[in-house]
Amino acid sequence: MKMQKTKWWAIVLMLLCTVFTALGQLFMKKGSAIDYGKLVSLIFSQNIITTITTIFSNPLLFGGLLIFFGLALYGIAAVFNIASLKGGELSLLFPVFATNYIWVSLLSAYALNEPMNIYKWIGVAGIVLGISLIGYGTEKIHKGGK
Amino acid sequence: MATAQWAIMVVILTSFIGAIGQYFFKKASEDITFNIKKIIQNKYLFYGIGVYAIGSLIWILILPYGELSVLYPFVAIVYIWVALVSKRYFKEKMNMWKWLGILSIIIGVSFVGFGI
Repeated sequence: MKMQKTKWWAIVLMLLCTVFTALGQLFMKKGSAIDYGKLVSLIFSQNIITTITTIFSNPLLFGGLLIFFGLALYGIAAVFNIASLKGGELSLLFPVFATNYIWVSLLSAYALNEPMNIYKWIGVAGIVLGISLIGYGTEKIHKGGK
Repeated sequence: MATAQWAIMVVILTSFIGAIGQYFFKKASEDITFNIKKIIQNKYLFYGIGVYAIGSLIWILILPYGELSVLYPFVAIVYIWVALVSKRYFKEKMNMWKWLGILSIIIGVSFVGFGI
């Protein structure tokens, strides 16, 4: 599996993948507080209009929609990821992909108001570095190096 | 909101499921073409999708019990299992860089654990 120089579109696709991944996580987290019991009883009530109006007026049920939205974003991200990997070197695309851990932390801090601290940020830096190193090492092996 | 320790344990266990999914997707990719009939007959593809669906369901159920900024980094543990699975079942080579990467992820995830 020899690869040539990374195409610019591969980098763009991978960046989009990380953004969709991070947004997908945000929506899943927002939606995860869903009231499952109420949702199931609504669906079994077989009254479509009541079901829809109740879902849209109740934040806990609206969460169910957010989860579906989050999963859909995740699906799009996966397609971008696979397409991107066809266009370039893992030593560059893995580090780009790894940035999604930074985006998720930023969204956690600013959109979910979670407290961040130096330990969490060092941890994220270690993970991003680690994924980058795995990408670099894998690329080396593909090129026949050690 | 604090993060329950058992929620972190569940995420670590779920990362095994992610690695099993990757195993099936890799198996599926060995026999993938732009041929609808072949894709439908590719049982590994469906095993992979099934395993991933279970993993996603557990993830959604566990999310209310922890901070996203704590739980999400733990998902990176999957890179460790995938590297080991690749070495064991697909005879992929390891090198110093990949081992260093795994070490860096372990250290990183540990730091996130300290930051709870």
